[in-house]
Amino acid sequence: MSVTGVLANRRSALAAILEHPTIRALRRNPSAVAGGLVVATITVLAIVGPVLTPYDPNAQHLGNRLQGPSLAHPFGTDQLGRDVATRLLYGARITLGLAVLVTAVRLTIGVVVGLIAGYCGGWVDEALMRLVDVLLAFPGIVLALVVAGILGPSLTNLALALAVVGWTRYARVVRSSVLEMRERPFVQASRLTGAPRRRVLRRHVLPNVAGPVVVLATLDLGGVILAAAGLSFLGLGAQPPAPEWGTMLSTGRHHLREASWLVNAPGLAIVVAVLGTNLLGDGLRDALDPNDRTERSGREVSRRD
Amino acid sequence: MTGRHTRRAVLGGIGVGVATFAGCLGDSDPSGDGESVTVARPQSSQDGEWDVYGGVIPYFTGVFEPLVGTNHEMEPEPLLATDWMREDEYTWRFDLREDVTFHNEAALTADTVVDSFQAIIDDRSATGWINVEPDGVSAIDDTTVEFETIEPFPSLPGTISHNYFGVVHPDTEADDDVAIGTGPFQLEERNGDDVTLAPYEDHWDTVPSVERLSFEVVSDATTRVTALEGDDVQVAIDPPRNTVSGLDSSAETATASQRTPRTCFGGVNIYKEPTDDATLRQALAYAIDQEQLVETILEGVGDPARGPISPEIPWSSHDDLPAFGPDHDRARDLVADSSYDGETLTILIDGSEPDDRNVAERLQYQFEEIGVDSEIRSVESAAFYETFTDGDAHVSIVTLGSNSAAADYLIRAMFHSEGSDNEQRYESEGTGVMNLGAEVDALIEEGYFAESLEDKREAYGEVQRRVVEEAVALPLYYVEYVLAHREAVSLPDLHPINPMTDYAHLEYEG
Amino acid sequence: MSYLLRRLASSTVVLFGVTVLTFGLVHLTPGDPARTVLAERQGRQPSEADVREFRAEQGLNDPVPIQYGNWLGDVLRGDLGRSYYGDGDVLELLLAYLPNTIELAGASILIAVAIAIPAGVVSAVYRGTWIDYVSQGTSLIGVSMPNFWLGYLLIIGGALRLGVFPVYGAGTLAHLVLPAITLGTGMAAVLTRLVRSSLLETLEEPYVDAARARGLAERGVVTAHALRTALLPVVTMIGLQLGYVLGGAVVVEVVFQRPGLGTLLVDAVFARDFPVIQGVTLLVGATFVLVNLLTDLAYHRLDPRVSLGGGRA
Repeated sequence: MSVTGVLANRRSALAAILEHPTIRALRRNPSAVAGGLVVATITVLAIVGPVLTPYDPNAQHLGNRLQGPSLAHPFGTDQLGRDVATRLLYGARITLGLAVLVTAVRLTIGVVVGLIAGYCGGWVDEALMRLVDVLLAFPGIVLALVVAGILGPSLTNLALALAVVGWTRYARVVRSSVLEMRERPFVQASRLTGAPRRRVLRRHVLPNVAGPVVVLATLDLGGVILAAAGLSFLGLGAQPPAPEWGTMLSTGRHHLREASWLVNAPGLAIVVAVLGTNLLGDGLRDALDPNDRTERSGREVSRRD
Repeated sequence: MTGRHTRRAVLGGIGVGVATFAGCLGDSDPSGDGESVTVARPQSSQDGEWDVYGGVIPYFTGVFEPLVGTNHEMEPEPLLATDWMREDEYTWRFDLREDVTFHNEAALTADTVVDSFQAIIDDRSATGWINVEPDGVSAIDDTTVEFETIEPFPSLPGTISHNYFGVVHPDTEADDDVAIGTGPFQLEERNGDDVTLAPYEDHWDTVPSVERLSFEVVSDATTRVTALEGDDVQVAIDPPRNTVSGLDSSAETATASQRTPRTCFGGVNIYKEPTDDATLRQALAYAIDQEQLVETILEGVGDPARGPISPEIPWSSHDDLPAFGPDHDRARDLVADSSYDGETLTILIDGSEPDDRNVAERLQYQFEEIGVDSEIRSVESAAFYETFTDGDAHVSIVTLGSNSAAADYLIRAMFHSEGSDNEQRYESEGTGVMNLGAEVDALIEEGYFAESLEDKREAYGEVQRRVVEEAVALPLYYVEYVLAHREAVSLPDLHPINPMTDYAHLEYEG
Repeated sequence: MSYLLRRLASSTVVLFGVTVLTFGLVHLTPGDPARTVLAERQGRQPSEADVREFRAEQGLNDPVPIQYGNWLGDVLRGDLGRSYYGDGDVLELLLAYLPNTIELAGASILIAVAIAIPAGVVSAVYRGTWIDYVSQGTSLIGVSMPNFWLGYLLIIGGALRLGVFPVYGAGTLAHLVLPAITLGTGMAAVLTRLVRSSLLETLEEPYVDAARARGLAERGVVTAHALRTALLPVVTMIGLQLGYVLGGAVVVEVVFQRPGLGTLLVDAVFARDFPVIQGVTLLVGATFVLVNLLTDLAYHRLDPRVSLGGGRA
């Protein structure tokens, strides 16, 4: 196939994606567009960050310590004379990577548990849902704090703690979708015709569950970023000198009086990232499920849980 | 992390209310009338300050006095005991001062001293520390107390010259806030962690000139300074380092600082590859710029260290020790000569100490400049010591020092194979962490049993020389503390041990 | 009645699970708690004899199920054990810290409600206008704001610059202002969105249209009819927010160095003070289960649309 052919193919594939009803709905939704732009920008910055900055995130210049924002250092320098803006850029990788990873693990556990509970029913369902209730009885950050604290401070343990305590909402959503599906005539019909469970799952249940789960995951990203930053702030996150945003804010507070940018710059970065994912999540939900007004409550928006 | 809050501190903050320093909404403290002085102190990271005397009062308040004091040269001096002598290898006798009375007017007798010691040894499992079993303390007559040690223990007088071993009258009742000691101050009131003291008029030596002395916990350093500037408190312990010059230049306030017997150093694990190679360790030593650490990260509060033992300790050999660097060319040559082969070293820190974190990041950077990779491992304070003695790290940022006139245990703990830092791995694996081996062990024992300071200095000096030359300890800085105060306050000469500040000699003209 | 019983039974099961989880958590620990605790307590490496004594004293040598049984028995008798450090009785510690956290939670909820109801109502009534956009935008930012940063912004502005409020500690009303604003505004952001959507929904209900048709002024419709119905889920939501308030309180208490359950927990985690960790998590978990149960029961009482017999899926 010729190069132009490939390109044309690509282009038409792209056009097809863009014209997909969901995507069209998204494109008309201002909050989705804004959120998407923010998230895309941060992602791009995280990837090409090293090209954008002349500094090494760990290069120390003690002669330049605690310099206020300037042209050379838009967000100033920290207590070891490192460029804060550069550290934020590199930190974006940690923040985004961690958020995506944790959300993916949560989603996987939640979907599997939800499917099992919904499909098996009976005591399995009962047991799994009580487990969910038990986990939900704790504010997520409290449980994650204890788990991460007991395992010891590190990014891996932080991710583990956040993933282990945060999958319950997915399980609930998936389970109720499965229960709903099971009652639908076409599912019952295919079960009656003896289609194997797995096929019923793949054909009918999963596609219907995908929408709400994707929305939930997008909204969850912001929550994970906040929770991770919160736990890092408490001292349970990245090991120094990793430029994790919550950790940067936490170290910066020792210089609150004379160098408030050390607290404000990472704070701002966190807000922008969370805002972006929340906007995108809101937009996605509206686009995927325009009728679902009841769910459009604040509860669905990721919070510091 | 914030410093650990002591439980009591928090209990105290409840209902009572820490005085509202920055506030115009809260009621301001009525002190500053020329008669009473309030000292703002940080919450201690050592619960230990409250652990003695049944928790009735922190040990630095001058309410209780030990038999032996520690003078400014960190040597034992008479306090409640006027004299002491070693009867034989295992036996020490202390003559009590005769004109001493407790705050309830009872006279100090040998029996009360015995009771008091037995309670502390029992309570605090102090036998391992002072080598005396509870029943090893006895009264010979009304004014003579005898200590029977479980092994020959030449530094007993220095070891008990610690605030922990203040003599407590048996009527002391922590639950009712009754503290009966012999000190120049007596307890007037206690609210959680905040205590108010009044002079004890019948003290055998000094009657404080201030009418009241209060200690209040103000955990945030900046708030302590704000309180001092507003005259809500008259003394503030450890202001933020970057406020020191401003406080000095103000007409209302001043600061005083004092080097302590504490040293911050990198303890190197000499039994773990690749830091088992002395050449590599020396390279690390050449990479470090102590002066720069002190001038930048510590903002001038502290002294560049050359050895693991602060010059405040009488047998420190700081003056005779070689200074290594910084000399990065030399360091790089040494790395090339060493067996180092690109391994990643681990630098262990206690995550609750922001200074240690900055110091570690600086070390990591300087190691990188000489071509040595390292990663920082920050653990919770509770796990730090265990991780360190487990030998998990290559370099651990440790701050150690003495709180009494007997610093012998310090050098033993760090460098003797059976010292507490090395014991665990020495016993299980035959290795250790910072113990150079039999020769150094023997030198430490020699110093430990030395009768004169000269002999001690010689033996311990040799130990210090070896651990520095072999780069077992990478000296970083000697710790300093700062007291900020109102100009109207004249502080006593500062004691190297901050909790031993002699507040009885503080004067105030408000 | 059967619903009530079933609900009680399931709450009991969950509560049991909460105790298992609480107890099990600390057994995840790598390393020997006895050694860690003793090292911290004595400031030096503990001797083997001390470790053995401590293990025996704390019952750490028993098999884990036995330890759990003993622990649960003690808990049911109101004995939560003693802190590994000092001589604190855990229950006493909890009771001493609790008032400060309740105070903070209460003040934050008040602030949240005071902001959220007017903002949500205005936003719904002026739906699609700039007022709505500003209100929605603000609450979205509020939702996305890490409360520790908001806390420091308030410290910089309200305490360091203006010198109006004390920064750290607890005890007076002035100490409560900044932490309560920090925690309350975050919650207000969530609630504003809820009030708005809930009200929008009710405004489209037939009976509200009927009220409009009878010629009632829009303001009357909103206040007299819609708002009352719309606030029902909001009230439930506030109950459910309790858990989130407690979670947020952890961080806010640390920022303002405020003694409370949050700082107690964080300190205990870093000190590996297991009895205290267990005490706080148990208290938080049990409170949440109970509040949940009560909210549910109240909801069933109040809302005739929920059938008592059927329960919900």
